[in-house]
Formats: sequence, C-alpha cells, structure tokens
Amino acid sequence: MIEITHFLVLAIILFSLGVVGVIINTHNLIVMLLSIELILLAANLLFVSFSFFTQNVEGQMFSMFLLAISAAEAAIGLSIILAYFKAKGTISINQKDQMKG
Amino acid sequence: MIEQIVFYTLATITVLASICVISLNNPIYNVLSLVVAFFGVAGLYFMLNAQFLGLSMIIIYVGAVSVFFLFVVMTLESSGYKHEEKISWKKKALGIFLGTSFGAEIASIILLKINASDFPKEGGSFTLKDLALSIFHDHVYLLELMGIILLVAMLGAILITANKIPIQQTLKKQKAHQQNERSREDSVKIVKVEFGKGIK
Repeated sequence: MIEITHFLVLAIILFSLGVVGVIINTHNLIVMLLSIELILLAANLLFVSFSFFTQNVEGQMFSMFLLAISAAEAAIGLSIILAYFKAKGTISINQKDQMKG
Repeated sequence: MIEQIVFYTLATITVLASICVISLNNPIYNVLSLVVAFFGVAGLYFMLNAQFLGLSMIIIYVGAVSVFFLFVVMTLESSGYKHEEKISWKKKALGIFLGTSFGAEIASIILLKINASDFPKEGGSFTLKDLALSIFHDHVYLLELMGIILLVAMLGAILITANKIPIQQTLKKQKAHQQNERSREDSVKIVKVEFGKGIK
C-alpha cells in the first residue's frame, strides 16, 4: 500500500532538486526558470496527494489554480529573459564585473 | 503490489528527469527532460484519483508551456546565444550541500510531524463533478481572480517584449573598458595658442 509519506518524500526530493538547480545554474536564466517550475511541480504534487489522503477535493482545486499561476509565471519570466538578452546580449547572471557602484 | 511497482517506476522516472533538468548543458535537452518529469507526475496524479488534473497537466505543460520554452530557446539561439562554459565544481558542491541540507531539514520536520496512520485508510474518490462544484460554486471568486492574474500576465509579457524603442537606447550604461583603454594621447592635445588668433 502506498502511503502519504512516499509522496511526501518524492515531493521533498523534487523540491530540493529545484533548489539545487537555482543555485548552480546561474550561467543560464532559462534553466533557472525550469528549476522554479520543478519547485512548483513539487508543491502541486503535495496539494494533490494531501487532497487524496484527506478525502477533500479542495486540494485538487488549488492544484488547478497553481497550474494557472505557474503558466503566468513562465510567461512573465520568459519575456523578462528575452528583454534581458536584448539589453545585455547574454542570459548569464555570472558577470561579477557588473556589480559595482 | 502492482501499485507499488507503478509508483516506484514513475517516481524514478520523475527524479531522473529532474536531475537531467538541472544538470544537462543544452537548454533544449533541459526543457525536454522537464516534459518527461511532468509526464511522470501526471502518471502519479492518475494513481491519486485526479485523472482530470493529470490530463490537463499533460495538455497545459507538455502541449503549451514546453513549446513556449522551446520557442524562447530557439529565438535566443538564432540571435546569437552561445552556451557558456561548464559549472565550476565549487558552485556544484555548494549547490548540492545547500540543497541536501535544505531538503533534509524539511524532511525531518515534515516526516516527524506526519504519520501515515493519522489519515483514513482508503483515499478519497472524487468525480469530476466534485471538482467542478468546488471550482465554479464554492470558490468562484478565486476563479475570477485567476482570470485577472492571467490577463495581467499576458499584458505584462506583451509590454515587456513588444517594445518599439530598442532597449539599447533607453539603457544608460557605463562602458568601463572604453574608459580604461583611453590613452592620454587620444584624449588630450597640447596646443600653443597665439595671442588674438584662437584655436582653429
């Protein structure tokens, strides 16, 4: 029998992978955005699994709305990346020489 | 038994695909592995009695959002984006250390608090009607709010990208290398000015 702890552990692993991706992939803004999508995916999985194991349908409703939120976030993030690329000519945020007064 | 086999297969696929998302070096492969991860989670939704959510996840993510990501990757590559060098091992070690410690903290808090025996033995069995009643009847204001959020996101995306003035002209930047490369001979000239004639 699959219990809720299985889903919890899976969601925590996905969340941590997303955090690692945001930290190590500063050379590519698109991969950072994909890692944020992974974090949202973990939250989504938590909503749905709690909705199943507590026999309450509202978790699925919130998961539905979370889908819309992450789609909006992807749209805004990608347009910001395009504007950044137009301005700077790169999508890396590694340049330490830009950080000066 | 079959349930466990299906769960562990889908979980392994999802975790491997998400490792590919954060570790591969080509953005197209990253996006495609994110699609695989979403497929795995959609399969888990089918196990959790959320068939409608699983299907809409496949439609929205695999159909729309990933194509959107691929569009942006292709636009960037056609306008001269080059892949950068590999990530340094220092940053990798830092990321893995921070990620694992963060995950271990959350896991220790949550797994100590939550016991599987606290929950009812059999999971919920929902129909699409329950979900629809919850969305369109009990929480209809949230639905309206979501429409406004999507509208604002669309307007924001259009405003940010469809810019008539090129950003190069509106941004005021300091060009440090040009300032540093100027020599004294290029910029300063000493002239002897005769009285009453001025500089020609």
